[in-house]
Amino acid sequence: MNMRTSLPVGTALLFLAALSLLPASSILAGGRRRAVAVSPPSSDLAIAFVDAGQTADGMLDAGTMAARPRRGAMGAAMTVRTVAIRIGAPSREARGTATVRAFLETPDPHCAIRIDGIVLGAAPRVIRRNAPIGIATVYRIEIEVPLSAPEGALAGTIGWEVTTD
Amino acid sequence: MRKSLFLTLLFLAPMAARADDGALSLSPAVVMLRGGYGQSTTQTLTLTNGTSRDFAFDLVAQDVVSSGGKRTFAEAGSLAGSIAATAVFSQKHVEIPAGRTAAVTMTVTLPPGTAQRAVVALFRGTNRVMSGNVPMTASLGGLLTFALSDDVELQAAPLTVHPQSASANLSVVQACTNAGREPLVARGVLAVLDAQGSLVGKSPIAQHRLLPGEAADLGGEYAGELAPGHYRLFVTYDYEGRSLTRSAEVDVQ
Repeated sequence: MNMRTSLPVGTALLFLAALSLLPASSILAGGRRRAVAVSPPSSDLAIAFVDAGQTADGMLDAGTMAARPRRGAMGAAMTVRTVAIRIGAPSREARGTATVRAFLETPDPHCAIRIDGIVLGAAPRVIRRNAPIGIATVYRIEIEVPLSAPEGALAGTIGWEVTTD
Repeated sequence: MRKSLFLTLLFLAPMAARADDGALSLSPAVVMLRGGYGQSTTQTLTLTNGTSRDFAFDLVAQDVVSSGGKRTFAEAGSLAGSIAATAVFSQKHVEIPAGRTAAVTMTVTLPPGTAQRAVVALFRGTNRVMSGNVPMTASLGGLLTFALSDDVELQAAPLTVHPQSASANLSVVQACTNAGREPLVARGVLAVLDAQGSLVGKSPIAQHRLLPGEAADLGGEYAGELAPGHYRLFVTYDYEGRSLTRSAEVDVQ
């Protein structure tokens, strides 16, 4: 008697999908002991700049600096703008928290940049602990430029880093 | 055949929906691992570029530690027993076209005797995007935590209660510290009992991960409206199979 049976295509696909979901960390590799995941990996982490003036891809230009430069301390002009960053998919309530850090990737010697009052440097600094996931958070960027500095685009690049808490 | 095509589309649908959400997405965001000194783990991290432009990233590992009760990040190798220093990525640099996904594996080994318990795999963006005339880059980090023993202890200060008012719900907050050697995730519930000891209502407290030595103010609100009277509040945290309860009393006018 022939005991062989063939699985329906749909069942086979589901079986393959289930196999692919097996945690890779539980598999022994190279005869070396591996640490084991004790919980299913959490959902993903996402970042999007969500300024009102965002382009279709949600990431880019928010328009020109809105604030009129005003005279700061010691003969410097200060410009203020805000940027909204959403971590994770949009939701009405926070779905966890993340740490937001920022740094100056290419420091501009002609200006000082602060985010929410924190002066940026070459090393990442924590701007916000426990930033809500799913809800856009607005950050205030202050750029202080000496009046003697040449006109032109800002040379310093602000790097944003988001890590799950 | 039609059935298999439907199933294939069903699996691909969430991926297609994510591909154009205007965000950069990293998955998984957190992996909690258990092991011992000398053991290694290989994790696959997937970054999806849901924007309309190409992005490039450098892969970097950093240790995540607690300093003065606050979580801080340290460059690989800058601390004794650095886990990040052992990180090996399958690629050190990835370029991800718009709407595409890239997977990178990271292998880390727990150095013997290390006190570190967490490392972050950072996709550090190298593309500049303009926000106004401010150039920016975007980076995402996935967190890996390691538990090597059962030395877990959550310490909680007395509850601070903010009574219900015309414009605010009743809320509680308390300083909590991970006094053990291993990371923990605390999940809490706030229970409100009336003067007779009957349960009036419950409210969940958002879960919070604490690395060894890390402290945070945990708490929550009771969303219901309480009638005038005397109440007893209980906050119970469940963490790594243990529990911790604190209580306080409040009068609602």
